[in-house]
Amino acid sequence: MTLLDSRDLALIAAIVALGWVGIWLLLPHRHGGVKTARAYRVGALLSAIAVLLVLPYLTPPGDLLARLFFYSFSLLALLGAVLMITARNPVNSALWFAVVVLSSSGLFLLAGAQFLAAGTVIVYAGAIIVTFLFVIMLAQSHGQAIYDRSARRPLAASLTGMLLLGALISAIIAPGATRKDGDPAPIYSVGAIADQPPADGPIAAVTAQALTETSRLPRPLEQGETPAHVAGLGATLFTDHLLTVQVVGLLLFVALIGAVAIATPKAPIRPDRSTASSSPGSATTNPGGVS
Amino acid sequence: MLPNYGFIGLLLLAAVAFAVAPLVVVALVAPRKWSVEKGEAYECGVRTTGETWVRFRIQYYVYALLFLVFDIETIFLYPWAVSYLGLAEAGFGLFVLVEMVVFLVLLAVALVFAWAAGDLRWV
Amino acid sequence: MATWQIAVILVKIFLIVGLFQGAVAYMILLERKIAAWAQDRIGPNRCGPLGLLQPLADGAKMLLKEDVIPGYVNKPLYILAPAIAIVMATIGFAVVPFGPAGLDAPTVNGNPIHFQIAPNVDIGILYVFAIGSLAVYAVILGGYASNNKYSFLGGLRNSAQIISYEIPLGLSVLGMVMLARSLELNDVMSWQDRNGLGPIPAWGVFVQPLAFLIFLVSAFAETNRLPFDLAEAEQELVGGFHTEYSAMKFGMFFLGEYLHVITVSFLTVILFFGGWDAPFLGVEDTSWIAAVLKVGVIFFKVTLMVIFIMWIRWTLPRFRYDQLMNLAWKALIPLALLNLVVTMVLIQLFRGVG
Repeated sequence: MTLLDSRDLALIAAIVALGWVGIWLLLPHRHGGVKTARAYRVGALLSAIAVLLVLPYLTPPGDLLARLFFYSFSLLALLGAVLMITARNPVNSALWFAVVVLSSSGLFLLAGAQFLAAGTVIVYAGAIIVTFLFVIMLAQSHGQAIYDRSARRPLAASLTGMLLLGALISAIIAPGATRKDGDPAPIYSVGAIADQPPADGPIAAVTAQALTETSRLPRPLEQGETPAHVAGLGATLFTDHLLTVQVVGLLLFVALIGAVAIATPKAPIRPDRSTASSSPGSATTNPGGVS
Repeated sequence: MLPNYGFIGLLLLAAVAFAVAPLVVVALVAPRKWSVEKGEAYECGVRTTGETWVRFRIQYYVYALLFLVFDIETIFLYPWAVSYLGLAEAGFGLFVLVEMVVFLVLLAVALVFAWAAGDLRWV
Repeated sequence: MATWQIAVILVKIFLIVGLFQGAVAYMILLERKIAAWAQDRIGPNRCGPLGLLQPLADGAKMLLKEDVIPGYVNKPLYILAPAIAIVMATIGFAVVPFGPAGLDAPTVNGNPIHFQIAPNVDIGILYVFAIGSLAVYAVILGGYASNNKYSFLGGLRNSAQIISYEIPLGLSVLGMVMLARSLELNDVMSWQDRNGLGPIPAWGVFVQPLAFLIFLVSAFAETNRLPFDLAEAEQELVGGFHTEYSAMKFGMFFLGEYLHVITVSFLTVILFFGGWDAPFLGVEDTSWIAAVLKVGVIFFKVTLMVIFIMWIRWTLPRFRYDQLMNLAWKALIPLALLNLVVTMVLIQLFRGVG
């Protein structure tokens, strides 16, 4: 049984091959050496063709304006991703990542997921990338290090990435990837739970629901139906997905403990402490200066 | 729904125009007299020495990590806060209350832990 | 979308953007006058009567000065930073209602005219915070791209301060969100109007007094106003992250900061002082007279708030950096969490355990 026809296979193979060579050419040299401008130009051309070949696999939304926004956000996200991987300066890399995140948020908005869009901007662009920038500045005490200017395994890494992308596209366009009509419908609202007869009391109803599978894809919207608002999201999240939320809480807890464990400041080692304590009258200066 | 965000898009265009216009005007009217001194990094008149990337305290990094965790927590709180009264009317009040208190207490314990470990002390 | 709708939205955008740019110019004059009054000076009085033409002179100076770009900067990022500052400060205002919007909007031929640039955006407050969290890029990039020690340290300090105070800012509004059951700011306003005990309105400042204090302090820190302006502590770091910026690029940072002050004042007034709510106005008045009055009331309250922010500047000394961080992490965040738990328990108690 073949999942994909030969046209799709050829196109995906072309995306993988072009993207592989293009990104390999765009990536920094393995040992931080200099590449010719022609290598970059050819790499940029091949990567651009690969990015354009991905576009037919996207399913744009309805009207013309939305379609225009959709394609501009998608192109921006893909180009931002390529530039993020290939940028030499880590700060530029982080900023291209921010471009990717912002255009993805735009796509979320087009899909009607307003809360997800805002949450992505706040968490990714506002927190994670800011942390990245802090770390980059912390690490860059002597200009750009050699490990920023070189790529470790450019050939293998770009091939792996593009193969994953190819597998992802195949999985998405393969028939049978979406839920069929015969499957049991997941429950989307508190009202639906209240209609269920067996469990006695709301708490039993919720725990019964929370213990079942919670990772199904949402059903497609019916004609003329508005997507659930933030309140609807909260209602689903904190009743149906009770365990998920608590696991997330636990995960955050562990993350914070981990952060504390790795970053707790040790007592500073001062070689001049013995001399400073032996002569209490001498003025002690702060060698670190202001910070 | 989309038109409302389209309005934000229009405002964004206006904002970008307001950011670019003054720079264009300055490029057209402002005088340009380049000199070596103007090109130097400002350090109160003293010639700058050493790297710009002076070492700074690791605490900035600790605060960034703490911020990350609390930011994600806050994001979870928003849909909860919006739906709380509605859920309470549907009979789930105490349930979601306890759920959220457990969620918050976990984070509060983590904050207390960081506090006790001395991570919140600016040395 | 009909043509007239686009016309209305364009008029709103130009009105708001133009009005606020003008307001910023006069806020600077007001700030200087208040500073002069606080220090027993006269203040600017040379341009026009009472110095009223001073903003024009300032603007001309910004545009006509040489735009020096130092030799060692990272040029693309150096130019990007002030642009980000001004763009984020402007679009953050999109969902903030400056008059009746939503249910109580006045109508023309049955079509509601919302006093808000983007009405019916479900995520309201969250959008404002999302844009606010992007504004930190201007500071980080300004500090990084300038390639100057003062800028670098100032940028780091300031960005750590901004992200630290984002948490209590976000946590403090949750109480009002819980009560109003909506993230939309006009819903919060109409909730404050519809509830309340007799003559006492249910303004956020009465319902959530602790949250109000936390919000106010965090808002001061977010706008980098004194007593939280450590990033540009002149005695230590010259100008902080904008040390290397001059002429119009400096002016853009400045403009962004004042636009931020306006947005924060609007948020405070809407969340904690009832917005357009006044004893003689209600959510059910949808006439045009009521709408004009509501716009007047909200702008009056915002003006008072702006003056309060400027007044504080000359009242309190600057914090030390460790005090600043301690205030955020050891006082405001625990208090905000406590306020949240107490609020939700009280809500549960008042509507009966169910």
